[in-house]
Amino acid sequence: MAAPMGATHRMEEPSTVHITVKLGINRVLPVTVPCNWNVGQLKELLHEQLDLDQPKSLPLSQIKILFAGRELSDEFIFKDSDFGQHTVVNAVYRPITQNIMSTVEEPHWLLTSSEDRYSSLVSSSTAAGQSDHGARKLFYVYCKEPSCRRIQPGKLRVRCRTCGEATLSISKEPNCWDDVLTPGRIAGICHREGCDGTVAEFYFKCSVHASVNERESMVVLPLIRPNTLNIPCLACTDTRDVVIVFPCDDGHVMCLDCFREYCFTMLNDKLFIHHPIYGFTLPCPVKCPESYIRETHHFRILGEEQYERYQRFATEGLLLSDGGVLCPSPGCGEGFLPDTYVKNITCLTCGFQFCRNCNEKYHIGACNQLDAETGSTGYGISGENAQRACWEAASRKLIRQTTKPCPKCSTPVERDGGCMHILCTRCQHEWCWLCHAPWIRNCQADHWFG
Amino acid sequence: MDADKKRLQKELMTLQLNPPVGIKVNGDHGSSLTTWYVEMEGATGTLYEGEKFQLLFKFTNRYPFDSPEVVFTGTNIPVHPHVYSNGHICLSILTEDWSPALSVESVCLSIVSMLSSCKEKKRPPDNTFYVKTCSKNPKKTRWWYHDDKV
Repeated sequence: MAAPMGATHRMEEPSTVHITVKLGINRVLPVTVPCNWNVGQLKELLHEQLDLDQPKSLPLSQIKILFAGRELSDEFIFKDSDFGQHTVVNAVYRPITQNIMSTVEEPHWLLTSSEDRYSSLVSSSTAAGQSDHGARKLFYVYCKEPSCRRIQPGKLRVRCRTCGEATLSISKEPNCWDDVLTPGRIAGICHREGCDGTVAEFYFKCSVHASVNERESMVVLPLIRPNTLNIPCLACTDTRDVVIVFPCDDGHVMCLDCFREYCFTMLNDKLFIHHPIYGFTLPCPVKCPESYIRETHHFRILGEEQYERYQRFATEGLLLSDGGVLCPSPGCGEGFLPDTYVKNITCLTCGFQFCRNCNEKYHIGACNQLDAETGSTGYGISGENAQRACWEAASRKLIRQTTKPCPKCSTPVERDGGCMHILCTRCQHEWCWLCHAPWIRNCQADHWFG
Repeated sequence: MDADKKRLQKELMTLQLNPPVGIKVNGDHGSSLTTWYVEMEGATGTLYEGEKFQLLFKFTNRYPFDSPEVVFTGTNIPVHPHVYSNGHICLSILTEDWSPALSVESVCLSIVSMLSSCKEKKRPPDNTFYVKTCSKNPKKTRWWYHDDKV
């Protein structure tokens, strides 16, 4: 079949570009200019428009257009730089002094691209015939906007740390993650009237949708990057466009679908670890040394529901390791840090009063004496309540028959075959099923199996 | 196709086209993508030279995040201190040291290597007892890897 006419032509580009020009904090001037215009022409337009409502405005030569920490030169042409629709630039009147970076043809390290170019996470490869320039997404963020709620390509932006406006020109380009993530590493000069800010603050935006709030900033995920080297995923062996590169010496690579599956499996198997510095995290799946994920927002990939579970497990683990307790009442699980001598604990959330040692309803005297005496209150109770009590008594009886509580945290543990050596999945305590005490070498010698 | 099936399909192709010495995926056993029979020969110059074994691999749909269930099956179960007479294998990469970066091929090579380094053919000391009491699925056994020399 013959190719349809015009099949090879390039996608028609818009002939105009919408730019939002910010003048000071509260003045915004949206303009639409032809794509082949340069910054000098934009300045003339601004000058004319400003003259209408501000007859005594400053001379044309003193208007500066700032974008992403740089002053744009008069020769800068919007079309050539893939300047995106609805990009925000700042116009300032203060003369820019000598000690900052000279103006450049284009800020190549921070090009923005059309806000509407992305349809999905994996569509970052450039369309045929389109220039690669400006389309290489190196940064990924977790976008928390309700319309996104996923990992998206991000845009790096810079603002004045003092006033928070993008009216800052920077003294040095960032060239590593530390420059961007560690506050105060890059200096600059703020050109907003009345602001004497000298420090740059970097932040990230979601590049999929226009900013809902100009001050919004998204958490950047430094391990996620475009797969420019075409490395296959170590789990599914597919070569995908966007991958996570683990922080190990080999830089093992996984696609994002497999990374989500890896996190989910490890969460279910309770194999996340509490790292003293990085928090509740995972290492590279190849188990390389020192390969823990430092920025735990990467686990946002789990999705809202599972991420909540991740956070709950992290908090519970931390609380238990600090000597805290969790309310044993079904569906509650509220955590407390009571003083060590307190044995009688009342949950502040559900009101359940329980014994710290055995997690049963609070009792006087030794633990494990409390049997199925539920209901013997001495006064009449409704039939419905009685039925429920029977059910719960039966279920308690079943749990008591088939499980033993962990000697450390009292979590009921079922032994389904295997040896006598038990590892509690909740508190990591290693104990002996037969002795109901910590696992020691003698347990292995005397009754390892049985 | 699901990720697990895609990965298994790729591994199967690689193993069939380019099998390591002494290892062959058996296609006549009515194998499906989630159950594989792998024929294995004892390496030359070892105690198992000339012997033929069969491994049974079972995969869940969470493979490769979930480790495969691997046992020796058939008439000849190797006599080895880490292999129980019911075919269960005490090898840490099959349970807690499993990683999605491992594969059927790397598991087979580890098992060949485990057999090859054996100095004396004998069953594990607790064999009789274990075989009587264990679960059918070796992944349910909480192994205690006390000896990594053999």
